[in-house]
Amino acid sequence: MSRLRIITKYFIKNALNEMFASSKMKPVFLVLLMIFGVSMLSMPGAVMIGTGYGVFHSMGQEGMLLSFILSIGATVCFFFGIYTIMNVFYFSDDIEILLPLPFKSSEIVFGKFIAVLINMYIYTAMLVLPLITYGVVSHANIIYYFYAIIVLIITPILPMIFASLICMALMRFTSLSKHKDGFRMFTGCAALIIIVAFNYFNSGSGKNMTNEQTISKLSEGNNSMMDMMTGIFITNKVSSYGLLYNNEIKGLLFILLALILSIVIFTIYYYIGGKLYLKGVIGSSESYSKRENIVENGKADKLIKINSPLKALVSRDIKIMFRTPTFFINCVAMIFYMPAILGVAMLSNGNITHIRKLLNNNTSIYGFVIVGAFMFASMCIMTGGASATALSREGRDFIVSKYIPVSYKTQLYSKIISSLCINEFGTVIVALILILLGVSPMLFIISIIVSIGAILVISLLGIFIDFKSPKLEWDNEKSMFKKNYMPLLIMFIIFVLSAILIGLNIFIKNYMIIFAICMGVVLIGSYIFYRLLVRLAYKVYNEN
Amino acid sequence: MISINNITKSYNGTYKAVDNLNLEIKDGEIFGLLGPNGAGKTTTIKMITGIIAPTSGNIEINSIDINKDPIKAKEQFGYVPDSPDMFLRLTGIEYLNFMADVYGVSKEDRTERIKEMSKRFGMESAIGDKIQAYSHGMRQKIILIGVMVHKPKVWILDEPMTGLDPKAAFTLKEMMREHADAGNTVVFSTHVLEVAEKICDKVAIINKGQLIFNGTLKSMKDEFKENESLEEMFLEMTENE
Repeated sequence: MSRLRIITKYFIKNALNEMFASSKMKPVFLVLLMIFGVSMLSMPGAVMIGTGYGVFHSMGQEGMLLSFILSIGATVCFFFGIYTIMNVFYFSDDIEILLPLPFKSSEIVFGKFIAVLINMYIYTAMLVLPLITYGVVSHANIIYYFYAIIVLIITPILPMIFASLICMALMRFTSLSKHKDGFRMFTGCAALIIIVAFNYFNSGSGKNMTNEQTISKLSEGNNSMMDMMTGIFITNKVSSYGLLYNNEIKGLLFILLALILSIVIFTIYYYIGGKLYLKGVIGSSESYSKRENIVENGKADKLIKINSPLKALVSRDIKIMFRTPTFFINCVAMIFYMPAILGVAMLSNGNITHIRKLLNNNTSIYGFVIVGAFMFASMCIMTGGASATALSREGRDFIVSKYIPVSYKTQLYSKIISSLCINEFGTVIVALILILLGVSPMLFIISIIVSIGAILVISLLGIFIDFKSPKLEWDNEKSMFKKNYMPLLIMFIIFVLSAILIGLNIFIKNYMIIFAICMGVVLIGSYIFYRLLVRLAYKVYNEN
Repeated sequence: MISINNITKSYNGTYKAVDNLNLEIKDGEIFGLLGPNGAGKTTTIKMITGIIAPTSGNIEINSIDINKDPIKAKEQFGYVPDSPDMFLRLTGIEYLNFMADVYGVSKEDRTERIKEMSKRFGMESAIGDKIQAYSHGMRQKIILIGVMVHKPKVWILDEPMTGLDPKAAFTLKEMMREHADAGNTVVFSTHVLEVAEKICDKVAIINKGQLIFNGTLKSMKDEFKENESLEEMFLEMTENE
């Protein structure tokens, strides 16, 4: 077997293993489920294609829809590609094993590229539904669907080559390799921002379509808009022409051209990439260090501070959470994610003024605001926030917690405090929304108290679940977050609780009683979880 | 002083990792725990430090039972685990400060000890960096300094020489001697028989969870042929089992 085949086989196996190893489901079902899930995400896009086709067709611009679908796919692959390529090409653990082996760097690049490509096809699955919709509404024949399959295979290749070249240039010519954590954190947060921005533009799409230029372009007909849309991803442009003219011979030619272009560009990349990769990857496993003698220059004196054991444990926990990219993204950045998605929906449809008016006119909806604050605050930490992994985050460092002379109660309190320090960001978000809504000072205070309480009780629940079955044996932080059913459970609890509270609000119509009920739920819930936690913490820290 | 009385650790009720072990480690002694891989050395050390509980038997550190009064017992010792890959995202000085906080060391004491120890182990230029950027040996050194920062009477070290450069290994051996000579206790596990031969006042050899020898090197030599090396005696004992 040639070396190229050996290494490619290894990477493919590895990529598939990473995707499926942690699941009990059969890989085939899992792939189908993943593809189904991702394609469902593109449902709004499919609906847009379905409803918009008639209008675009009447203007002779239906090809624009195809360009639109493919450029979204390419853009998503490009952005997620940068993140994945950086991790797979430069930050993965196998580099130190592979570099001393007699592989050409272009062979490593080839193998790793294929592995990332497999990953990217999951994102490409989001194009399936819109493409099928286009086929249905345009009454396309079987050849269209055949071409569509080829197009789906080609689509991520060029964006990934671009993404990969950008990564290679960054690693070759900057000192980025020394700041891996920073880079991971940045790209992770950027990915979240892109999703939120995408959501925003999606909900606001069509608003900016009124300028004269666009209209005149549109009126030109003959799919003239397609040129504007496709931009740098040339294979996209050719592919969309291929799909558009699927019943003509030029359609076939365009598809063939797209295929040839992909192969040619990939071949060039294979050689250039190989050369660039080797120079960037050497030393990428090094870590950044200043090697500064802080004892001599007096900085040590400033850094040595005295704290109580409780404060020391809390600050250690928070430092590690902020410095470990996977923890930061999952525990901190995700708190802002749900509100951003929901907030965008609120802002973009002008709902705010409507709610403001309602709030000014009657106090009967105050109860809803209180329940809303309860629900919204809980939603912020729905993905678990800092609490659902409070103990698991320690991993193998947990051994230290067992031999230091700190009581199990102090250790438990440190977990509760550090979780609340992070999770209560949710209350800040609720406060901002309440200010935007212009609620009365009284309602503001009550809602804030409720949201602080909601976060307290959900956090205690999260810590309890984590203490009950902590995942301490992990090799990399990511594996800790796989197979996490916590959000589903919390979401279920939040929805049931909110439904009951809303129901009560309809009957009771007195917001102070609703407030009292919310606080009752918070106090009783917190007390129960706290008692359970104390008992559990004793077991966790003292028994084995 | 550490007294280990009839401790047994069994898993699944059948497999005994440590089987009815009795040891008495006195003040002023450097005590070496020897044994082949999987003999039960680390399990014994983990029971002494309260990381795992024995299935039966009891352990006292300076006359305090680790299972009855764990906090007070844990204040007595400093422990170096077998893997130094801990708190990788903290800087060295943050880790040392954390350990000093946990053991309630005053600001003056910790400042003095951190400076002194980092100088002795050649870590002055490293303690400002994240532990992640350290080599294996440097990680081992920072954990050692973390133990010494609270000046415990009892040192419990699991394979402390692994990864240390010759100078650091020499410094550590020197410090172990000084600590024991000041009337304190040092217990450590090792595979390196030369180290044990050079610095241990007493050794215990464990194999398959059972104690097969406990005493001074001299008494071991008396038991075997006078001119046999520790290596030969060790191999003879562990192979006969």
